[in-house]
Amino acid sequence: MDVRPETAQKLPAEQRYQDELDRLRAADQDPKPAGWALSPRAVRRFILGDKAVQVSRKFYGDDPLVDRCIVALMGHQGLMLVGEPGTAKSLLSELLSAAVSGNSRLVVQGCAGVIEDHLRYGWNYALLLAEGPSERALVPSPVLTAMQEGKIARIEELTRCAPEVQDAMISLLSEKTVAMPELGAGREVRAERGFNVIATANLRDLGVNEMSSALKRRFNFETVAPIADAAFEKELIARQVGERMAEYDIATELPEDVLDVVVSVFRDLRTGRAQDGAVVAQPKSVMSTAEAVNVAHGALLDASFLSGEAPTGAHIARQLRGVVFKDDADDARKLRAYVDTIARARGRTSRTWAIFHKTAKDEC
Amino acid sequence: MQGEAVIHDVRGRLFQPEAGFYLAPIRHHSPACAWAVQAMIRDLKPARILIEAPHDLSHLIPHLLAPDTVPPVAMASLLDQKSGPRLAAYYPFCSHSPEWVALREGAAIGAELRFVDLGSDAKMKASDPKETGPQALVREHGFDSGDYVRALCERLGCRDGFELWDHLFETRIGDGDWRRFLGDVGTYCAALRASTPEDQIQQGDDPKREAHMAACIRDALAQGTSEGPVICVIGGFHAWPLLTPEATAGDVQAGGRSEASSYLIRYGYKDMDALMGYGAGLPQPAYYQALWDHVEARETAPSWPELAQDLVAGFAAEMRRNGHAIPVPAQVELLRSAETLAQLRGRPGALRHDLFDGLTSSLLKGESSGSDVWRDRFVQFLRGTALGDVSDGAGQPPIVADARARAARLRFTVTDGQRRERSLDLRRKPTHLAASRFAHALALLDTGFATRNGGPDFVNGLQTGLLFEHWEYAWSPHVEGQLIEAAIHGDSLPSACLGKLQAERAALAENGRADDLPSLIALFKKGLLAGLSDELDSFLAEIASAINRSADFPGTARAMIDLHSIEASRGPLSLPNGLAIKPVMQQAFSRVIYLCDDLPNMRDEAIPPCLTALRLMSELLRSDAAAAVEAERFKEALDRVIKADPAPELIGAITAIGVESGRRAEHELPDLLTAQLRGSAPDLPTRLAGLRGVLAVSPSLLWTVAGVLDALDEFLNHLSDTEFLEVLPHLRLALSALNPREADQVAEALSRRHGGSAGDFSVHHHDIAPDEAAAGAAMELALRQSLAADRLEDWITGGQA
Repeated sequence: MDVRPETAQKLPAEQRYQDELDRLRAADQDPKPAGWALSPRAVRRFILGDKAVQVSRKFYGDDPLVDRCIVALMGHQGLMLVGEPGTAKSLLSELLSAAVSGNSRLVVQGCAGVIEDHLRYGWNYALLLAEGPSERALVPSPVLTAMQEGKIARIEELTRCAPEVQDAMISLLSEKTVAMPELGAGREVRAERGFNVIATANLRDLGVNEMSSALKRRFNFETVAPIADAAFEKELIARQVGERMAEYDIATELPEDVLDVVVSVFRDLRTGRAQDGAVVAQPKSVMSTAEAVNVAHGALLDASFLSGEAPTGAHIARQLRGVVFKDDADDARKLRAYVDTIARARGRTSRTWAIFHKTAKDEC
Repeated sequence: MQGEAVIHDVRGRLFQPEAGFYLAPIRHHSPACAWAVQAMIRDLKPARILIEAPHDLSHLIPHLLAPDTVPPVAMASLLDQKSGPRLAAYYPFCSHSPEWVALREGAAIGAELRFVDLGSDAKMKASDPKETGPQALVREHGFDSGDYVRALCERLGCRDGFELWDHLFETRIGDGDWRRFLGDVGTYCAALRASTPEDQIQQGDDPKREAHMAACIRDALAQGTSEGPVICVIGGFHAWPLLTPEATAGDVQAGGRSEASSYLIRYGYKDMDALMGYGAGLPQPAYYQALWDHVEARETAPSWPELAQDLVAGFAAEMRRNGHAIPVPAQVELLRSAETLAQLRGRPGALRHDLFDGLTSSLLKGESSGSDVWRDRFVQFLRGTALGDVSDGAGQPPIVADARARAARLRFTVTDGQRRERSLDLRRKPTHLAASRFAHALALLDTGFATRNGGPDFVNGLQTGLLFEHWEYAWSPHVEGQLIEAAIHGDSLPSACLGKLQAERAALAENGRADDLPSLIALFKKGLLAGLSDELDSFLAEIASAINRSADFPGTARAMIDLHSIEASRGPLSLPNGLAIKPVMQQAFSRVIYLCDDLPNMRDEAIPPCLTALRLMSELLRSDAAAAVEAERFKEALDRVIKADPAPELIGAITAIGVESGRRAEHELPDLLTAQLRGSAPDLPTRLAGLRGVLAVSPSLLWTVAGVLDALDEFLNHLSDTEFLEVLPHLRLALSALNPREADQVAEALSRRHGGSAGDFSVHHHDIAPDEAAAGAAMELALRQSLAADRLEDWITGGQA
């Protein structure tokens, strides 16, 4: 189905940034690998920005990572983006495919319900029954389409697919061909040049399937790290919470000091090191920016709709356990240790931290 | 003059053939610069070569040129201060240093060689006193920071100043046109200078240094240039003021006396890389060495693919030797990624950063954290392990003199090689304590000078109450040899000891034992014994972070006890004022509390050490150490443990701690034991588990708390003989926690219960094997049964049974 730009919640990257892509294409002098819409350098400029042709920066943090991703796509290996949730893996994958192939919509959204057909091809059963196996009755998967057209296929959340489905990727990536025995002996689709696969995966969440080492070998792994700059992360959290709160008819925002508590707690527990250098036991739970936004959002809702008071450290403390420490008893210990030492010490000089400490101690 | 004018000035006047004066602006340890300097000297055949190195180190030039001096070597300079510690600084050379190449090339054509920088004493005095670690005598400004570097990095897509430098200049190694290359380096450095705020330049010692260097150039030019021109090899940042030496020098006189003493030492790439971290030259010297060797062998520009291939193959070979083979497809992918990245980034071939990126792409499978094992291995490979050699004529490093002076001061006889004995009264005589520290220091450096024959062993905590330490010692050439070896760690005894301890700690980390608490604490103790003080700060930090990673309850408790014993120690282990051990103890305490929550899930075999740890912790918290920590948190943690239903031993131990501290009511202990002993555990010994826990933690509770002995006595009374025999060994084991006096007390209490005195229960001991005793008991049982069957018990026991 076509995207309707007027009403769609979110447009695909190649439409959102069509102007920029057009400008880059017009100015592109560098050699292009076969099947690529832009040269590797133009792809880089599309993602990291280029003021000269008015192209905005879309991915922050790790420029060499973007270089490596582009180079990986030029090779025979697939590109696997891993990292914590909320680190913009999917965004990067979308941007790369939009720039390289001009199409970011050849996506398989991985989940436990995905079967091999979603990676290879399925059938239009009405036609299949009426005509028998024919090209008309065959329904190609996004991956098959990408192979036929020499484009980038995206597989989101590969580790959520069952191992046998993941296995189907192995031969696909090494042979770059899909055999179709139903259409006759020797019938197959061979990937056009320009075809490659970008997968994103989460290796730490519970409920994901371990990747086989055969599959790992066929991918170049790139880890997308959380935002390194605390001030930027704080700004991002405030912005995202603000966007979410816009849905409710209530004007409220987190006070600066409370926001600082959220950012500090998440950064300390994520990095295993407090701002003053003290070592902190790292929980297994994902302490991503996305989760920080959830906590801040939850605290704000709690303060506005339930307790009817200004948001404080106490609201944050109450959200932490429910939102973050969902499934690991050991993590609760680590949070308690953090509250007992770091938060307690900070509480001596800061009221917000003192309130946070008191509530968190009772909650844990 | 400002900005662009400076840049144009440098560009236009670096080479002044009419005056016979050529500046060679360089970056230290840059092979590309070395190549250009080599070409320049071969081309111009100068009469004099001036080099940016402290003028007071000139006496080392002949040793540097000696055929048996092999880089990496370093000129070391030492300065005794009237107040404050002795300062030491190093000027390293490797075979790809432009300065080294200039020296060797200059000597080959018979040019006069001079060092022109300010004296090393002045440079050391000007250094920041807060900076710790080895100081570098070569300093470079702004190659890695500043607006200019940042802006260029952004424009060229480089992540830092190092990548930028490689991208702009190392790619041009082997360039035949040295004029263009050095002109570009000069321009780049002039731009760096132009974008550095003037007050920042004026603040440091740069103006003084530049005036001195200019004065040297002025003097050299005054000697005439008829035999050949003057070349000055200089850090690019200083090029601009030296374009007009007379003006910059003013009336400054070159040379002068230096208060520092200096000597040549062999150096290693490892140390060199560490020194680079302090702002001099380029890191990972083995990489640049490989680049230099490659170009030297080809005598022209490098074949980048070949170099990358050689490096990757060399790395793969080393990894294979170490048992981490890299599959060939991964090697191919590494090379492909690196080469393609280099193309994307507009480079002639894969540079250091491209290789790292290629390695990241091809070898890291899975999620990477900041430091990865493969990256670390590659860093180590590119850092290299080369060790240089110093000419025999270069004399003795001062650590030997330092050790001899200290020995004489502390009244050790070092004039002959005879073995002597010496007893040191550690606690009463400060001079003896100092002598002991000296002996420990020399032992730490493996010199073989002194061996401890008796007295307290503080490292292992044995016999620490002894007052005297007994040593046997002798000075020998071997001791001197070992000291010279140790000179690489430092120039004086304390700094060498510190360096040695740091090396041992690094070795621990390399063997995967970075978190080995007992070893880390032992290193810390060794440092204290050798008389180190605030320098040991980093060891404390290391211990603190190992504690924070520790997953071992008894080990962490042990570490806390150890730290406390050091804190409380007043003898040779006494803490210097500057070391704050309390925060580390507090951290250990927090970790112990954190690990308490593991106790309920302990495996059986892991429980005995935990019991010991619980005893130590509760003893510690009853001592004066309790003031340093919040003891209440430990008690709360124990409450949590007991709620989580741990093993019965632990329940016993924790209840005992609670009763002893008054947190729990006294009756809880007999109640617990009665419940356990009367319980339905089919296996009798397990019913004793609680008692084992109590005895392991606090044996005295057995007779001081009412009802405990009664519970045990009642349990034993209800046992049949067979059951008693089954329980006996376990009972013995549990009661072995008692010392003989306590055992007597228990016996007394028991005998009072049954009437009579303990003596009545004394038995004559016979050498009867257990199986014989069992056979005897079985026979007695059979007899009793037979008598009972015949209803003759009353007859045989006189009606008392």
